[in-house]
Amino acid sequence: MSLVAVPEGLRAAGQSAAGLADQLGAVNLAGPADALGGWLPGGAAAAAGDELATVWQVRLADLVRQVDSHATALSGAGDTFHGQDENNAAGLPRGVR
Amino acid sequence: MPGIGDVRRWSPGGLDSGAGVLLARRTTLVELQDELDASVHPTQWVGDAADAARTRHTQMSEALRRLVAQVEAMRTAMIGAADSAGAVLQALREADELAARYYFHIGDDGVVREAVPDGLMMSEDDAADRGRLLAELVDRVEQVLRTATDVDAELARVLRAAARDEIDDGTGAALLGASVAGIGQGQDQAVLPPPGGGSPADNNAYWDTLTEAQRKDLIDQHPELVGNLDGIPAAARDDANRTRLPAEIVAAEAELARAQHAFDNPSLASQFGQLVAGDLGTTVDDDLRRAEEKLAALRAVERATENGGQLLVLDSSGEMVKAAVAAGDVDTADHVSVSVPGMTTTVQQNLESQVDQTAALREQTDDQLRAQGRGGETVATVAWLGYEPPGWGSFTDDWDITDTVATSGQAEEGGASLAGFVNGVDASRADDPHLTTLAHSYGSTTAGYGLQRGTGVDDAVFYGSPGLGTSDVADLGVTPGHVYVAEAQGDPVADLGTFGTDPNLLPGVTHLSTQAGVSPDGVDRTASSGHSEYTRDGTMSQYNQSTIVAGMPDRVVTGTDVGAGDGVGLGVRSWF
Repeated sequence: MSLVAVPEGLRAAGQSAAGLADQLGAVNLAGPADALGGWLPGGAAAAAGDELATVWQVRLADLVRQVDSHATALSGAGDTFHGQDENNAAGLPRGVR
Repeated sequence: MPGIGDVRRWSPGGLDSGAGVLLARRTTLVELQDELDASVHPTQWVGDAADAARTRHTQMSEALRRLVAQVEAMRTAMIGAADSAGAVLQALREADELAARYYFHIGDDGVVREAVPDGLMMSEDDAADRGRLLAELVDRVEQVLRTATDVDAELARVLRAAARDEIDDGTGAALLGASVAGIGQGQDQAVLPPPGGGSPADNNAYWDTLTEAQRKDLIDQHPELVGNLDGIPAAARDDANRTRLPAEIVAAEAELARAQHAFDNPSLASQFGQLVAGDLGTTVDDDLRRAEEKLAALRAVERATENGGQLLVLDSSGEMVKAAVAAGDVDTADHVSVSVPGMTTTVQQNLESQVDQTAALREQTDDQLRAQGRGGETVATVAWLGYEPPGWGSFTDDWDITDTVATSGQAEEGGASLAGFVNGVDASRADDPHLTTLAHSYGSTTAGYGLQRGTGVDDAVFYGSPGLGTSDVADLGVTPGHVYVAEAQGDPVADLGTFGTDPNLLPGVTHLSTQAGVSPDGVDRTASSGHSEYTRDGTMSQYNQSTIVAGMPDRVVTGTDVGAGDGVGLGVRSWF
């Protein structure tokens, strides 16, 4: 096992997750569902569209939070691995090797 | 539930554009697959934290997959809704136009109101037409609302399922796979079936509200709902009935095999205590005979339509198979005739000859139109065996007079079917074709009862008639001067007057010649004699029928042919 690969891999995965969260956060899913009442007024679909628009906003925001949290956790783990490695290196005199 | 005012504000274009936006959103989400894959922690990382990260990533992936499936389901449902909404709006626009043409107005509340301009005078015919039209408009509004409610409910169903997280994202981990799973769940679950017991106008309005794809689905998957539905286009009925016919034949073959087996193995029947095979107290002999007749009838339908024609009725329910076959295109013909045969007629024995006769009548009518410089007009002639005429056997088998030709029951029942059929032809057309009924023998009684139910028939011809089910021509509801009667020499049935006054003696009918002679087109025509030569090729009788079908009443050859019964005022009530 390469000790370098783990912290770098975690940081890279964390960056990807952060990018994923950003892109997900930019998606406006609710628009068409919200507009349905104007295209098909007077029935059950309009009300169902309103409900779905709200649900999707909440669902997407939750997902963005999850992904963001995941990104932070992965990056944090990578940093921790890296910091631990530095600490370990500092505690071991070069001559010992 | 949407009202008419709501439907008027429906925007299929808006729904389409919304579906387009959802497509873009779904594409964006699916394209996040790379970022999603790249956000998995390195495999070299193991331990509790790594396990927790893996679980979290799986949850994120699953949530995103479900979202993709929901978006795709909604997009698919919106496309379907846009198509259906377009068809509903078109049907409503047509109803609005029809209403305006006859000075009605369909309100946003769905009520059809009078909108006759002050001082406008209308003829009696127009006034009568308006009465029928009002009922038709009400039917059309009903069907628009029925389908609109279904369209709305179907879209709402998908949206609610998405809101409740009930859209299945399928199997696998790929976002694209979830999208594919969403498509199936956004599609219409089932096409709205026709209105049960609907009038021809109801059925036509219902058909108008369906998209082409829905119509095709209905014909492919449920042809039994379409083939005999009065009020929908002839081409659709033909498609549906031709789709059904092979399966009907296979089922009839199996039924015959079962009946034959029971007949060949009487011990099987006797094990059950008696020679009774069915729930209706029928014997194995009866069942075998019926199965043979049914299969023979269906095969006759197959033969009669193998070279073309429109199969407009195919009904194997009841005691006898019913069928109707048109020569020509009933959807577009300027002149449409419906021939109604009489007693002892069956599909298995008579359909092919009836089809030949109506095809010959069509040719003769085309000839007459061409001869008068009206060759651009088109003709369709229908052989309608859409009811169960009585036969001699039903009397002689059990001596029960209630099921003999001398009673009107089957004519009244058949008349209701005939009225539905001819009104269906009218309702299925945006224009108003010239419509003629040609009815023979007991069929004329059937047609008489049918016309009394109110139809759009323009001309009615009765030949060899034992009565029209009424003694007053006005009851037929045909424009005065457009009811014709023919009686051949030596036809005893035409003098019976069993079902109302002998038609020959009714005031208000025009008598057609059945004698030999030269018709106005200069052709020698032969006479008809007896009860069964009215439609024979080359007769004056057939010529007269063709001129009436062609809408050329001034070209008919009138006559005063009467039988012995007329001469002595024979009021025969029974002719056995």
